[in-house]
Amino acid sequence: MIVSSNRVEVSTESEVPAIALFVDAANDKQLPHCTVLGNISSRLIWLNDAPLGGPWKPLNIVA
Amino acid sequence: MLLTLGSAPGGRALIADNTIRHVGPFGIAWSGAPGSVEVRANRLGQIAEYGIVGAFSSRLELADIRDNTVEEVVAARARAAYAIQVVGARVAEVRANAISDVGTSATSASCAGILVAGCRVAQVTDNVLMRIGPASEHTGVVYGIAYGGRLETLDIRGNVVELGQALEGGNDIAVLVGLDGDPIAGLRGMIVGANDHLVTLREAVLRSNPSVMLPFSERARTVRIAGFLAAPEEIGTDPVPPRAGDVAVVDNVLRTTSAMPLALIETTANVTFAQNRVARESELAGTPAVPAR
Repeated sequence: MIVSSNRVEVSTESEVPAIALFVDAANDKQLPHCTVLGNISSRLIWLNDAPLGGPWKPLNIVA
Repeated sequence: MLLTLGSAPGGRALIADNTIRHVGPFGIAWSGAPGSVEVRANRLGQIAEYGIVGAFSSRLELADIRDNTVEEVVAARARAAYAIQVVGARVAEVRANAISDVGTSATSASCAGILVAGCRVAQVTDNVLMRIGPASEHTGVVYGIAYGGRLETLDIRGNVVELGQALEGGNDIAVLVGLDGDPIAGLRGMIVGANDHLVTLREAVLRSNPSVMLPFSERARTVRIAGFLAAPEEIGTDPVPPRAGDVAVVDNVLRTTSAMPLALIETTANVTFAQNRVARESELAGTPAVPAR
């Protein structure tokens, strides 16, 4: 899954993520098959039921 | 206007430059197979139930729906209103259509701007959809652009989708992709009494046109014969497996006020979701704007 350069505007009054991604990991690795890059969203982006972590977190903006 | 197509593989039907108003339950419709249907530059207005529609059992090589204007599609006896519906075509192209005011009555149980189901290759590009669904509280289902069933390639690109400005009761989804199963099953509890037309379409294609729904096995067999089939372990570790199908939702503008997702993608295919502008224009917390699985 490739999630890139989107602008997602939702209410900032809740904890609901702006984008919720559910992606399988490879057989021999724990990293999900997903790139998340250059998005601007008003709430967090979640990947597999957790806030986005490395290496993608610093490459997206919550604003 | 109803086309009942013959069986000549090279058959071609062109419907162009017509003005159709005050009719129902459809404006332009087709059934049968195979061949191609091109529906171009028609202007439809004040249509009951279906604007431009392929029957559940239609089996086209090519459905090319472009440059049409569809305005004021109203729900009638079936409480459904759909502007464009393409089912079971090998190639479906829905391009540059202008669609507005579909199912704006609060009594609509199900309405959609563009529905495509069970097509091997589907291109839904450069369409403008405005005021799809009721502007007041309602309990039905509203889709801007929706795809159901399996595929090889789906491209939803460059569309503008603005749903009706429903208040808190709206069950409105601007873009829905559900390749297998019931894509909104997880949200079903929020939808009261809705008849999911998309699921019905997909099941109809499975029954009446299974060859279109088996692209993966055919392509895998071709590749295997050619000697290029990857080993299973290579498929397992490839982040974008080549035979999984491809879904691209790119360069779209999506706007709703509903608490439902703006773009809901449930698929086993490779997904590219990029360069979209997505806005829920209300203070509702709702569900995530973009759930993708």
